[in-house]
Amino acid sequence: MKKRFLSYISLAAAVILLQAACTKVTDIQPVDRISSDLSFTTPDKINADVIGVYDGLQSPEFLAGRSLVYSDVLGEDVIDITGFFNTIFHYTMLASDPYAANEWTAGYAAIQKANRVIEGIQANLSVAGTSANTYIGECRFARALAMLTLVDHYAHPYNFTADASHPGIPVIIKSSVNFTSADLVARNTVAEVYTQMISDLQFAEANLLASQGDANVQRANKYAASALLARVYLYKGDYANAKLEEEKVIGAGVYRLNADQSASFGPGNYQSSESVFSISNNAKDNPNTNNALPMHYSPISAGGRGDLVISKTFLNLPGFAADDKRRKLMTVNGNYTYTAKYPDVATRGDWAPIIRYPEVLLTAAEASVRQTNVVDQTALDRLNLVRDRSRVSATQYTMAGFPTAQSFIDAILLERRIELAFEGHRIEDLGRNKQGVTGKQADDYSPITPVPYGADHLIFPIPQYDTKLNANLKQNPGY
Amino acid sequence: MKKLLQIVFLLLLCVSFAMAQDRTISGRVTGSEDGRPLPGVTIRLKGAQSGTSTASDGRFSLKVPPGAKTLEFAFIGYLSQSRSVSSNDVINVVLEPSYNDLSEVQITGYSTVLKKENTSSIATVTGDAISNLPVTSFNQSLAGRAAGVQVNTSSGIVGAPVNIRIRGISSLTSGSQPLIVVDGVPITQNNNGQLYNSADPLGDINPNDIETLDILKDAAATALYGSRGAAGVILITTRQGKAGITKVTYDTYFGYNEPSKKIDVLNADQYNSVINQKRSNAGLSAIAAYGDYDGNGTVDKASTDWQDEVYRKGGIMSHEFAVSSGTEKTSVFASASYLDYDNYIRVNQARRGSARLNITHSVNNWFKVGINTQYSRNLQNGLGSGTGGTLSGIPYGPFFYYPNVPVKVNGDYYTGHGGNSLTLNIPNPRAVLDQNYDNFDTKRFLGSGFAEVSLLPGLKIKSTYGVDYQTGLSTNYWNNGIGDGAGLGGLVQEVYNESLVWNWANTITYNKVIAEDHTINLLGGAEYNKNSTRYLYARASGASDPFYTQFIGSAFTNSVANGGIQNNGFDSYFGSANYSYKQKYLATATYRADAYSGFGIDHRRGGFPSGALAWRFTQEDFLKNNSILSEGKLRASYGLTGNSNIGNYPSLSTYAPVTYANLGGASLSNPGNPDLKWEKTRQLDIGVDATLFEKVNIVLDYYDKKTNDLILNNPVPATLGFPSNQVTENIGAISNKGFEFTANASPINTKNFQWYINFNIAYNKSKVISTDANNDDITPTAATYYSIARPGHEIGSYYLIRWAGVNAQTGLAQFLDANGNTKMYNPATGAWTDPATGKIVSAITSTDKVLLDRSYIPKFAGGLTNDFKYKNIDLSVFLQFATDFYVYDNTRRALLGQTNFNNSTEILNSWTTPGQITDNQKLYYGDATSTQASTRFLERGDFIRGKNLQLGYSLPVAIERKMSLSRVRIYLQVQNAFTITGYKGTNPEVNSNNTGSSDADRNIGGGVDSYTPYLARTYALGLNVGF
Repeated sequence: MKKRFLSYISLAAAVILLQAACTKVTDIQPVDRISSDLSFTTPDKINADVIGVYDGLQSPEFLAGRSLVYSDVLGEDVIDITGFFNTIFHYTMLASDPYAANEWTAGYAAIQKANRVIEGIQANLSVAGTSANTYIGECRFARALAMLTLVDHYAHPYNFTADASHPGIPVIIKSSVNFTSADLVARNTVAEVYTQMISDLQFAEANLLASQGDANVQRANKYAASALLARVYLYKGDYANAKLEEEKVIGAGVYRLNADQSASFGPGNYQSSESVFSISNNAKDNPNTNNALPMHYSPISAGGRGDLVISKTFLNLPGFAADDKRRKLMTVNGNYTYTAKYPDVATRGDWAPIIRYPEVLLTAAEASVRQTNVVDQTALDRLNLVRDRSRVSATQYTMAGFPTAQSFIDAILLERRIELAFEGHRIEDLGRNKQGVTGKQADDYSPITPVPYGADHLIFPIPQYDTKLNANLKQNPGY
Repeated sequence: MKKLLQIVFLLLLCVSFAMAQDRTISGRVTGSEDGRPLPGVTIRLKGAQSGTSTASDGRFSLKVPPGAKTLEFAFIGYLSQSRSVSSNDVINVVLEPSYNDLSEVQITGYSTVLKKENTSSIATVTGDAISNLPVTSFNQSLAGRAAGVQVNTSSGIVGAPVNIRIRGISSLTSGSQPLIVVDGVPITQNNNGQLYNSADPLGDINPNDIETLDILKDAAATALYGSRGAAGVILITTRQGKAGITKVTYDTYFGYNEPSKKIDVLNADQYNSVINQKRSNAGLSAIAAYGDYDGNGTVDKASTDWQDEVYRKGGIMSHEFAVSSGTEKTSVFASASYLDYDNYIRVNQARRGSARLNITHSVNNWFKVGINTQYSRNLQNGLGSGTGGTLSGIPYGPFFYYPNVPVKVNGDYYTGHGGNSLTLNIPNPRAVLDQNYDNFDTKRFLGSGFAEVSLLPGLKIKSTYGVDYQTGLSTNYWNNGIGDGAGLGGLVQEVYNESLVWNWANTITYNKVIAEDHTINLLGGAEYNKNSTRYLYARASGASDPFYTQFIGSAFTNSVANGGIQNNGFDSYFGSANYSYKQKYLATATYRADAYSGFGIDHRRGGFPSGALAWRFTQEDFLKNNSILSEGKLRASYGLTGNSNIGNYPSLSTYAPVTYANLGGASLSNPGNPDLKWEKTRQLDIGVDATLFEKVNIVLDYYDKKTNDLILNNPVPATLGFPSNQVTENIGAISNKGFEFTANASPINTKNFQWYINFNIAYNKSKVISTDANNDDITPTAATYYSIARPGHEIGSYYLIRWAGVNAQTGLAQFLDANGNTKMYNPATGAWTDPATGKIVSAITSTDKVLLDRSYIPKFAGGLTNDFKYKNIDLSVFLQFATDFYVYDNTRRALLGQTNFNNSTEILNSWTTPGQITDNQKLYYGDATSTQASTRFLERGDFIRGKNLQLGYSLPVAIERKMSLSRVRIYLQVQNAFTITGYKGTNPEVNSNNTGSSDADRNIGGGVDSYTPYLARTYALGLNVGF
């Protein structure tokens, strides 16, 4: 009988065992992420989502550095001596090129992050409160910057056709929750892309704060929006508006040039008085060894990758004085000269400069003269403001030195080339002036065949990954 | 109550037998092949339930009642014998080895079944086949051992991941690795916090502890594992003590390994001449030259073979000590092992120590408890230089680095670029290998405990609780003087990862024989499983002094920390029923209902049924006792399984934390899909198990496996901005169909000479049936890929531009466009021309890629083992083979590059003069187009490999006895002795996409040779001692 008793005990125990472990095991909520329905439910969460949009811009394949590099590697002022950017440098990309695929992916990831956060805020306006439009302004600023970066690299310049009716990039201002046929977007014209960017930046300008406090420069303020809008107008050839926008920045009086260009770069200088907008990096969050600006631009002996050096075409530019102080931001190493604008190899934390005040001054000056076709004193003063801080023995520019408006514009373009070198401006400045790439040099400084304005491979292929999935997305000629 | 009375009656009956006039019969049982005593042979009186078994010296004694007529002697692996009981009290028996293994027991998951009564397709690999092999983990030894089980060891680096595929690829973008269950506990195969070197999670298990590996292949077998069964299940049973036998064994081997193949690259003179020729053809200045390395003002000559510099003969040794013992009530198996494996790549090393204790104890006749436990520590010294294709990686660095500079100058590593005027991004391969480190320390406890209650005859309740607890500590250091560490001022990184899987299985089984002919086995159970992982990561750079190479926080100026946590869980209910009529007609039905935490609440639970029928036709009267077919069974099964290798929250739309430099943010991490449900694999299997002439065993299977509702990481255009450009959806279908054939036989079996053959071959053909609504191609996730999944074609079919050879007149590279027109590329002008007309034509672009009906997955694969034994000498030859597949050799492509990186000697036959027929176009510095990915680098991979050759000598029994030992064997073995293949690269079994890639890369983009270190060829001398 004892055995039977035990049997019943055991059976009961077994039944209890089976019951005890109920379905709790499968009822697990994530602790390392937030369900999307909850992601806009508090002001802190909305602020975090907006920072997430900047994080999209900060992709290692995008504006954390690479996009700036591409604009310069396409031009003639740097030489790719390790062959790391061989396909871009020599214009031999294929439609499957990983550089093109990754930048495109990162760019649209940033655009869609902006779209999602705009929609999330609009659906939770009561949570966002009075800050709603400021946050949306930041998102629209980021979206415009991403679109400008993409349209620069994947489409010919605005002036490629008279009405900018040539293919740009798809304008996407609404996010998708799923992949449907509505996502099989075609490319908008370049004109349409510009219209959207202008609309975004006008909204941003109207709604952003004058200062972002501690996060200034790394988060966009009102003047960053005006300055970026001015750049868009400049590329578009709308000089009146370009000037108007830059005047807003200059007139605000919040920015001034540092005494020396070297005070604008390197650790400690990222939020200097001439920094308008940059993509921030730091020791913890940076594009790492294969993508960071300091790695590409620093010699191997300094711990960099030593990919990109300065061409002799640039070093010997007529008008770039031998004692120009900006040469202090260059390092000679063996046969080659490297830029020292991105010195932080140790933590790879160099911020990627997107807008610096010298650009604002030079754009204002150029737009003014292009608009009126007359060299005005204000424009000259602004050019001198930029040039004089680095000028040593060269003579100062005077009105007498510029017999024609074109001669002044040429001086501005030279100044932009020197002042903004290696900051991702070169190929765009060539394109908007309908200039091809001449004076490009190989690793032994021997000349490379010039590439005319409008050549197929001056712009990137639309990635094969996308054209394969979306037949509406037409490839650029030559790919 | 009636039952209980029956039991009491039976017990009384037994007692009454014992009280009659018994006599004792004793004797000794030996094996016919070598005359050695056989311990553990079961001896019982015909018709009796209990008996005895032989001790370690083969001796037994058994009390038998006066009327006893026949004794039966049975032992696994030997033919059973019946001996009539005469007046003689001593019976000595010599058992013949049996190659008819249908008498074996197979584990089917939660219960066991006699192989002859099994209705499903299960391949069993014995522990003997995989023990004492000079490899670091047992899974590497499974290649070629079982039909339909393809095992791919991706590289020769210690800890390289091993891909196991059972009956083809079962998914496109989710995991295809089988479930592995050790003594009833599903174990984790996840990443354990490694940094730059991978570690094989199965390398923690001591191969010598394994008694059997049962590989469940068809749905009838795997459906009991439900949602985790689609890719097959491998059940590992560890060794147990046996009643009445105490056995002590010591196994050791030691030896060395070396690279099984090298790639010939240019020496210094060849390098200087080839590189400068490229430059001069492109109108550029010479850049390659010898330099003044020691700074004495004169140019020195140096020629370095960097492969030789980073390779060595690596010493290996293994020791394993095991004791197994048992009484009627308690059995114990204990082992301790140590393996030290120095790879042929300098620095690269694995050391594993493990201890196992398995105990089973019957408390009384209805209550049994037991534990199976293992603790192991695995220390792995990876390559601090990086692996594979990273710039400083092995073998990338040694392949491409300047051959015209020395390793060291005046005792210090040479880090300059010699007389070469262009720097390479690659650091001195030897310096970076020696001065950086990347070590990994895993500690793992794998154990389970069970209690089993037998309530009534045939009814058992068993509860098994098991854990797989492991910690992994990665420590990594980059020296401040070289490579990536230089810019950082030295870098240390640590990852500490902790994972715990607990699994609690409760089963009730009921076995009943009704009216002798009807056997019923019923099983019901519930199982709960939870998996929790967390990690901590820290990094510090900028050492105050290069002395600090460990993580000493205050010695570094910049430090960063990170961490994470993940959980998932299952609850499952299952049951099965077996019915056997006269052991002739067999039927099985199983069902499992699984719920997984990662699915939306509405689709959480999935049901997975299966059914199987079998007919042992040799039990029919018309076939009984025929001389040809001694055993034959026809079986068929059909069932449904799922795949849960799908991540933690595939269906939940989530925002994850991100950082924007110093600012914390959040971003969409998964677009989510609330409708996501289980992927379903339906499998039909028809098979025959047969034994011919009592000697030849044959297993033949046909299967048709179709997976619907694939949980597909469906690629979406990048313009949607979804993370990884994908959404997880139930779309598409794939199929795998194939045949498997296994035969083993002993053609010669005499006293002095035995020959045993085991052969298996499997044919598998995969097909992508459909993908998304548009039937789009599914591509691997890597930006550069060479194969895709396209509906109507095999999984992993290559998708490449077609190479059209070098134009003999111009020396320029030619390709075919999509329409088959030949186009020729001139790197000097960048122009494409029609070679026939000389007219300018449009460029070859990626739209000229075509799908080739050539897949990386072998259609035929298998193995052949021949074991010979002549007196005391044994010889074993194990060959592995695979045919009908292609490998894309990206290493070869890169080694023909037109840059200042070093080249393979293949470039020496580049075109120089009109009319010259060659495969290599004219040298031209900077020309990346002529060597672009194309069919030029696609090669057939068919191979036969001498996987293991072994020659052994056992001491004669007489001498052993004098030494009081039961077994002494000395052997010599060679692992990866030779490979016969037409493939030009290092290893046709290559799979560079094994490491650190997505499941899509592994499933679709396999077969790519991208800087894969060669497999090791290992020579080892071993000793087995037992007493």
